[in-house]
Amino acid sequence: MENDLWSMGQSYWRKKARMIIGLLAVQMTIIIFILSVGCSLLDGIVYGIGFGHDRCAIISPKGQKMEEAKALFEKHDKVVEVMVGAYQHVNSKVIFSALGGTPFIKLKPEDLLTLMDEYGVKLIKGDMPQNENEVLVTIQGLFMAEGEIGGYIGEGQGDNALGLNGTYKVSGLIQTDYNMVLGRTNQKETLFVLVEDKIDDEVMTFISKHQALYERRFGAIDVAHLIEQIRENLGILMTCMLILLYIQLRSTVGSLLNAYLNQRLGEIALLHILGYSKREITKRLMKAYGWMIGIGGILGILGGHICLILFYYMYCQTRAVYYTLWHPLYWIVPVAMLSLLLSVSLRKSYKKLKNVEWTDILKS
Amino acid sequence: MHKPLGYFSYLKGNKAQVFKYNICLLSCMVVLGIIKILLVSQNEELIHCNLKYEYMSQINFKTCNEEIKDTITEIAALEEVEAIYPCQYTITNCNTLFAGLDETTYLVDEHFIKEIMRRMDAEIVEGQMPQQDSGRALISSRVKEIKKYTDSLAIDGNKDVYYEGIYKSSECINYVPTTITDYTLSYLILPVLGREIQMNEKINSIIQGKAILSNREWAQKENTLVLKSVNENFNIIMIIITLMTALTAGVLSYLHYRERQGEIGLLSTLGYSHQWIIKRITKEVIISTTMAALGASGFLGVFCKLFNTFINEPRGYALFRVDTHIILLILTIALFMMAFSSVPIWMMLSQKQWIYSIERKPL
Amino acid sequence: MIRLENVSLIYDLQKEQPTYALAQIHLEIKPQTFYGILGPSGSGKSSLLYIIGGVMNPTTGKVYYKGESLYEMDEERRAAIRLKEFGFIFQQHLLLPYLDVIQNVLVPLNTYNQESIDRAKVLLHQLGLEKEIHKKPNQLSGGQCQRVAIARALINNPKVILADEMTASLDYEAAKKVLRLFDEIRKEATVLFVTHDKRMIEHADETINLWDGKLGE
Repeated sequence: MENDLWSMGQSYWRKKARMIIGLLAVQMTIIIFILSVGCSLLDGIVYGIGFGHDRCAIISPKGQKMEEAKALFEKHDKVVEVMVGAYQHVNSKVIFSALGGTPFIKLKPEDLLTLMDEYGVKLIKGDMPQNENEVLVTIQGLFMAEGEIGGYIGEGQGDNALGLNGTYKVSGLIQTDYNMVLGRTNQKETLFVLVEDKIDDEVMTFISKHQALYERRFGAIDVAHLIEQIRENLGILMTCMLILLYIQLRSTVGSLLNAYLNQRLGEIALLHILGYSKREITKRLMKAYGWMIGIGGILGILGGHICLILFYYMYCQTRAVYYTLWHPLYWIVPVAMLSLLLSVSLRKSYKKLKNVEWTDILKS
Repeated sequence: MHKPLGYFSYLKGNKAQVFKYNICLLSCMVVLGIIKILLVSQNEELIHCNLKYEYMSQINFKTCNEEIKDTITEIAALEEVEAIYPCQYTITNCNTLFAGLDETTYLVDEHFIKEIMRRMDAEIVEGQMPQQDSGRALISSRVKEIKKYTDSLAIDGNKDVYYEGIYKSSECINYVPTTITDYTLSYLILPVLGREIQMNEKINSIIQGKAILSNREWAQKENTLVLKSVNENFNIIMIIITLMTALTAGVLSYLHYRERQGEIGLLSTLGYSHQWIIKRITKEVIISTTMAALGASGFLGVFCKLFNTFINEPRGYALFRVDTHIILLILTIALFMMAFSSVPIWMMLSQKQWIYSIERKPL
Repeated sequence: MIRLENVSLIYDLQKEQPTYALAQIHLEIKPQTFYGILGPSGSGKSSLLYIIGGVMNPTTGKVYYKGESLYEMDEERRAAIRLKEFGFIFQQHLLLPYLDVIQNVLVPLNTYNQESIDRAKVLLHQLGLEKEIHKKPNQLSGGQCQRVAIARALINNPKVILADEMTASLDYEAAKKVLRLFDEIRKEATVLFVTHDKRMIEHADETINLWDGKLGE
């Protein structure tokens, strides 16, 4: 009695469960993909414009005021380094769009090394630039410019998606937390004011007080605020989307589980009257749920990650788009959703089985 | 009392299912409607940012050298140029509801400020024009409204520089009347009225890569690029939400009509043709979807009204509104959902010999 | 009125041993006659009823209604004939759970005007359900539901009534009321009913015996 009657029905019901498993797998895949887009967008924006967003103020002093401004800013005790060079904006690609505001920094060789040291920038291939026409780029930058080490990129050279003004030879590849292009120069156009930790109100006020010395200032707090706001907005949007997706998951898979249970009520009532205890039946049914959600969930998570890998290699790499291939959220969120779905469905089904009158089911 | 097979009889007996379906569609339409409303409002904000280029152009040189002097002299000599003023400026981020606006502060001669205000037809609504070189600013009313709750009306983060007057404008531009004697990297150019296009063409040919000219055409191109990018990203999000909701609506419909197979088998046996039955089911889907669409439109209208009254207007943000874009969006979603909900049902119903759905099976 | 020529219903045609639900049935149904269809379970009684009613397509053979081949006309026309001229009473009552009694009776007419309501009330009164008019099926007993189903089948004054075990769930008194009603109806309509009930067989003018899908004596 213990196994036969229940297990005999299982292969029949396994076929019925295919739709639940299939739908769950498809929805999980979509959820993981959406998560990856959101995380990539967030990380991509920080990667694209995040250089110096809270550590470095970039200032264009008036021609004759360069030395005066440098000396003045160096005096502040929170300022670690003031470097002199040149600056322009280039582009980065994030998912489905492009950003301006990525730095192209040109400095004296020794200052270049200092900057790389301060920001943890590693030279992973090639050599440091030997003259003003050579640059270091990230892998993403290289893809965007459709260049190669030793080749030329920029204006008039293939795809200038990077937005470089001028032509440059790629001397090496760098690995960095924020996207940037690095070069060397003896020009004295721009000051890079670097603080140790974070540019706060005090430093900002100090810099702003000496407005007469410079034409333009960017970076630092403005970008920090912008990034913070973007993070917040995207975070809210992502949270709302995930809640919506969970509600949809619950509506579809939950309804199917409900229909599955309703279809089996007659069978369950019969088994109960024949001698299976309610507890036993409930336990077996819960196991069935667990299997369906478990298999569907695992298939969905695997499918989702396979989609991410395919998307990365077939779309992002070929278009030099920044993409976060791995993130703990890609596991945490789906597992959390599945757990919630399972517990809510189990609770609902348990309540139904607890309150049902078996004889009424058999009569109908 | 209603016809037995009419919609209201069906609605009375299937309230839970109709409610679930309607809520699913309504929530999708509301979410997408809100995203679209925000997008439209952000589009307007972005356009406002560059409105100043309707009245002036701006040159930013890349390097400060002797060449600037000659270039400026050449530009000033153009007959299309009314006046050219050296300036300094800073751009900071002005937080609005969901994004930031550029708040620009120009340090420039007071003659320019008076002229630009005359061209913009803007008037000082509070305080007065600060004295030249006093270090005080004339700020726009928009900046004042946005920063009302942040207690930060200092100029450029420098708490020692305050405003002395407010002029009425929807742009976030502040002016500090300052005498600038040295040659700088930035200049503001006032065109002779009606000759802006010719002026910009001539200036472009003079500067030729030595500087960047920000003018109306450049601003329009920038706006288009940025808006295109923003809109594309959000369109993708909206497509994903629509597809997921369509999947949900499709599954709910399919389950609901699968449960009603017995009823359909009965009606077929009694003598209602397949066509009639499919028409009836389609009618149910259409009416339910229409109810959801009307509900969503009403909700969005209320949402806009509440937001405008309590948040946007008091803080000077761009107003939300339900315009033709939103209505079209709701209609498109409704049609898509109807198709998505109906097709699986038609496919399911066309496959069966319906008598089997009632043989030995209660309703 | 209704003629069956060489009608067979075969399942699992592709298999080695297909199943014959009905095998080469030749039948002539006369108008205004009360036919009882008898046979052991699985002999094809319900299938014969559905084929005669234009609901189930036979695998071979033809069914003629008033000289016209029922399965050679288009589905719309066949449905229209079913709606106007046939009345079905099923083994299970098959009432729509979300409609009340009177709405269920009016389903074949799909109307709610005074004339049809009055006709429905008359029928329900004849079946002893005058007090149950606004109740839902889940508030009625099995026998009451079956009587509502009978009223539904009769509402459009059908020429042919096809009933499958309609008195199975009825007690003696209720069955008597039904028989009384059918006694009036048989003057104008042809009734074919599947039954094991002796009371119904006694009322029949003719019997059709089915054995293993074939007509027997």
